[in-house]
Amino acid sequence: MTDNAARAPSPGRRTFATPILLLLVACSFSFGAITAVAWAEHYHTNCVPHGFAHGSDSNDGSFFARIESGCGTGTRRCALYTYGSFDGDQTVGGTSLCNAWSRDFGDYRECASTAHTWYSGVFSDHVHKAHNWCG
Amino acid sequence: MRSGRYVIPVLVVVGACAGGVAAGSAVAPDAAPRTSGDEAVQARPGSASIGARAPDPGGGPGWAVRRYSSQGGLECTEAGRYDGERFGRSRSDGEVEQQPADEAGTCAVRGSEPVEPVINRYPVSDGTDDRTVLFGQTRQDIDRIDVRVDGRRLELVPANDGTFLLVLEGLREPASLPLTATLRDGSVRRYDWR
Repeated sequence: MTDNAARAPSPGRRTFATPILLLLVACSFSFGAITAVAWAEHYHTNCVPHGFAHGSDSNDGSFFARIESGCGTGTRRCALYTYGSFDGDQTVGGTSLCNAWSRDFGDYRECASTAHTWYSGVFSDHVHKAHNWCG
Repeated sequence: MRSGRYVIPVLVVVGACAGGVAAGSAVAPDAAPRTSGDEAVQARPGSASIGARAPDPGGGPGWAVRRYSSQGGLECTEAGRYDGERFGRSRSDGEVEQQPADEAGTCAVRGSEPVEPVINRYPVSDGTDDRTVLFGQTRQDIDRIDVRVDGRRLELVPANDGTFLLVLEGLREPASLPLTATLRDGSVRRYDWR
């Protein structure tokens, strides 16, 4: 009788466990959501979509620094770097989409690469890392 | 029994209409080009052709502009090495590595600007020394295009398909290559890359 009473969960413990479980669920959900948003930052929109475009595979060494068309005709520059070294770049006028392709410049490790994008009068030069960053 | 006589003709008509819709959708260009997403740059099969060509200042395979239409309805250009058969990049053995037209073009809505100029800069690699390559496509109402290089004015003469190309030694700042397009109506458009 005494043993059984000792093993049975007390009402106090039960009320403590439920909020902890709810908190764990909420934290896990937030972690997942924040991670997803952070990874999405390899390509984002500031007037026009731009950033690091992986193409069909994130590990095949074929990737792009890209600024899509729109928001005027200002000069746009998209550059690629790997382990901090300059791979090559593209600058466009007119209305063209800026699209610097890694394979035009050589063979580079995709996860250690960054896309540097600049659009005159729209956004300043800033860096987008590969979403599977390993640099 | 009687209604059964019409089943096959109805099926044939419906099938033919569906086939026609599918074929028409594949051939007819979209009314509004898509300027965003993969379709904006992805090449439409069979649309690629070689336009302007230029030699490399250091010898070896020359350069060319490849033009293609994207699945989104844009006109795209890309610069690369060209040996008369293969278009791509130069390898350390001097051969050109073929790169099929895929999604590497610089794309724009056809005719939206008199000139769609592009500058690519290639640092030294196995197959090439430092190069700055100015290329692009023009509208039909262009009279002439000039670029200032080292204080001299050079006229860029477009190929028959409207593409143009200039290959320079070294890695040059785009702002040092201001481009001027003169239209047939006398108006002038300047691209200073700033």
